[in-house]
Amino acid sequence: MKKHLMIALAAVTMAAGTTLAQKLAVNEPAPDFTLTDTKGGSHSLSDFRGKYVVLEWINHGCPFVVKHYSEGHMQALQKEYTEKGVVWLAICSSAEGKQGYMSNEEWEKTNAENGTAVTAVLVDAEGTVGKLYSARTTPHMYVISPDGTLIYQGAIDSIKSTDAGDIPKAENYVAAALTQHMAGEAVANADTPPYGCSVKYKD
Amino acid sequence: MKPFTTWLATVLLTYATLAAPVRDKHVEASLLSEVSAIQPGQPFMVALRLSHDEHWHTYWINDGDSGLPTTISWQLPEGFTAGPIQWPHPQRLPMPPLMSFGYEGEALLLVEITPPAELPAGEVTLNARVSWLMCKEICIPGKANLSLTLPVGTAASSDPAITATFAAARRSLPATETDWTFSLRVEPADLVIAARPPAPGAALTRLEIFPLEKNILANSAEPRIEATSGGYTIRIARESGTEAPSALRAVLVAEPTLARDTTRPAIEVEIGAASISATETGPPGAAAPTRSLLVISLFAFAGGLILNLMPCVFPVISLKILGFVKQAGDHPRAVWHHGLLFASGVVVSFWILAGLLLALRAGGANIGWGFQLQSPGVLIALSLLFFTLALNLFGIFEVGMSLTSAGGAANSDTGWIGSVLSGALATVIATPCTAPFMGVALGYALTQPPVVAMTVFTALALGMAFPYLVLSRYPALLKKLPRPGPWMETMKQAMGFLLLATVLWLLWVLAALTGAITLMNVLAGFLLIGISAWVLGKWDTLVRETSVRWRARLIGVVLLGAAVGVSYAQVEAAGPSEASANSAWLRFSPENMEEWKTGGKPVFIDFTAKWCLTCQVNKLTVLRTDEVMAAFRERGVILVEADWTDENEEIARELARFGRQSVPLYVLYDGRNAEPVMLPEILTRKIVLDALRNLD
Repeated sequence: MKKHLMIALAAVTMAAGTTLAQKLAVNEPAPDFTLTDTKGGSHSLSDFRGKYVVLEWINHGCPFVVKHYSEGHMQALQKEYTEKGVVWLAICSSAEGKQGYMSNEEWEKTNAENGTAVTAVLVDAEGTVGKLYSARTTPHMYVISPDGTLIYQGAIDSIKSTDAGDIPKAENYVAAALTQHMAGEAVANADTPPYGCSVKYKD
Repeated sequence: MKPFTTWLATVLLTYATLAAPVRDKHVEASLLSEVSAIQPGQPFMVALRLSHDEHWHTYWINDGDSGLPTTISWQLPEGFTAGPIQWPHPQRLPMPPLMSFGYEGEALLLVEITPPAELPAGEVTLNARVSWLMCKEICIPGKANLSLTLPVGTAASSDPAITATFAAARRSLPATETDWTFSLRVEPADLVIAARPPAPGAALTRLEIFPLEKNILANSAEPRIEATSGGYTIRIARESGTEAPSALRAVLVAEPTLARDTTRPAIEVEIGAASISATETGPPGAAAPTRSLLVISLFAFAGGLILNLMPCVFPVISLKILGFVKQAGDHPRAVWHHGLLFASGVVVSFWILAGLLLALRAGGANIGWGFQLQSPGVLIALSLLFFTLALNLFGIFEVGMSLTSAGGAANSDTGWIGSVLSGALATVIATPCTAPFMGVALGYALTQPPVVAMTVFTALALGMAFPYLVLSRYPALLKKLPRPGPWMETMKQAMGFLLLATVLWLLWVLAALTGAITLMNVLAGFLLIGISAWVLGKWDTLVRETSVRWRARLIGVVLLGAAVGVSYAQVEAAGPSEASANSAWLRFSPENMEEWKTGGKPVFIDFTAKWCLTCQVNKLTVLRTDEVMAAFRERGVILVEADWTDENEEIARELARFGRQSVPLYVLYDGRNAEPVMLPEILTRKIVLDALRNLD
């Protein structure tokens, strides 16, 4: 009996390592995780109870991420909301040796160059948190309410392209979700298909 | 530089139907034309050819987990139009654990170009701005400005290589014609497709499913195929955290192909969840055979016949029979013509209904049969009309040059148009009473291409008109009808009460949809119509002077206008229908379905609506009787009422699951997750009691 249980557990663990977890359901508790940031500090989602948390899957080699950073749009959004007390975590799930993976020094340099206003950049080179959240693209955005509920997941905005010129015309779903939820309204678009490059997970 | 290269390319490749390829990093793009010359007004095909470096790919219309579909922005000379991209079937592009859909190697995206009907001789240049996302491990956006110059003129002999290229591109497009039939069941984790081959024993060795929409299937999931006695069961994981889809639109690539044209490996299908159609099997649990169009048409015809027997057609049948009795004294040929016209009226109005329904369906409106009577405006119009007709039948006024239109004209002896209109009227009133066959025919028709749907509706209409056709073709049968006489007047007056009863029913539905104020307004309208009819009947008669008659008519028309105005003064939007008056019945909610199916207690769901007479008859004579209620209580059955009076979408979706577009529908779950039992649309106490006994 015990042996069977062990085998089953092993199988589950192995499966979890290679496949995406089921896509999360909005309006359900967001799964907790702990990751190390590019300065060496450790963060758990549960540390931020009582605050809004935005998760942004990131890969600076991806043209869709470039679209949102090259003209400062993403940075402005980060600044606007972190100033309102929102915790903004960028997560990089690129495996070591794959596009988008950077050492802590490289991250610090890049962050300084592009003027990011994130609370922290978290390194997820094993891809466990990416798979836990079923993160598929960069960018892939998640918004978590102060009580730990997932209130938004999906695309950064409504126009799927690599052209920064489309950003002013698009509806930013993350800003909309935060604004609506803070005003006590229901989030109108709570679950949208993300768009972007694939997350470069470990093989 | 650029114009020069373009010019050079044009010179080098003039009329070779291929513009210079443009390379952007790992993809080379070019435009090809199938024709060597443009003929005015003649659409022709062009192709965007994308040649990918090894291991690089671009994306299909649904890119899957990541990517971006290729786009073409055309700059065309005046009068030219370009159609949408016709996408060849894609291939799976795994990037574990993610999955995208797109093309490697060489892909040809076809676009149809339509030139204007008038075109001067010379040359025409088509310009296209193409952008794509190319990915291997990493992704890079690419773009190219492509142009293609073609002469205007009669087509020269085309290049066999080009012809072959386009033929191959067309074979890669998903076919829409298939002899296989499909049905879809939605499970919590999977979509389950039942696939039936045209002939037993047909093989299915390999299958890829490419969903046309996101958030339906888990992109990386592999379909699991299992042979069954009748064909195959295909399971594929749903995208988790999404709502149950009502349909699956997808491209299926199979070996051997599922397409009727066996040179084409892919088909595109839209499979509605658990609805009945040729592309689908029956309701869950029912071993439904594939229904051919002929069989379905026969069902529809029978359904049409039965419609004549439904309670809400009675007033019109009575009206029409009155007409036949009068016509029996006429020439047989004239009678036959009336019959034909009546039938054409029925058929045409069914076509109009079907057309409307198809248009609404196309518009995404989730509306079922009987929709005309879900509209307060239509209800008011019908009740005013029927009230006026009733006054006419009572003899309060006579119809000469009548304002009462359809019904009035239907009663006149020589009204050819009247015959057509009365056919149409019969149809309008019949629709809410859905005969058992009708449910199937409609479920079928509404999931089918318009042509098939129209055939079914035509059969339905012919069935409904059949008795009238027979009676008018064989006037001998008419002789068997009672001879004209004073009794006719009595009968006519009696018919008036039937019409009043119909009015009562219409008002009841109206009250359910709107409220007391609307109802009061319509009743005030009745009062004005009553005065109008009285004025016309008293002063617009042959014995009066012409001037008196004209004044009477004027007053009559003004009053009638006022009646209509008052009736429509406040047509409120439908509020939610009132909660079930009987507390034993729970209100339907889709969230509770899962619990009801598996909660251990039997559950009976009554899909009903106020405008559905069959439903009300079943309710009064069967469901709400002490005997049946006692049996329900004894077995601890959870009773649920799904009231569709306000045509709400949740219930429409649930009906669709059972392949229905209409009520009544009675479903009994055993609470142990077995397939539900569907009871017939016309209930008897015995049927219900037996079904309950069979639960054990």
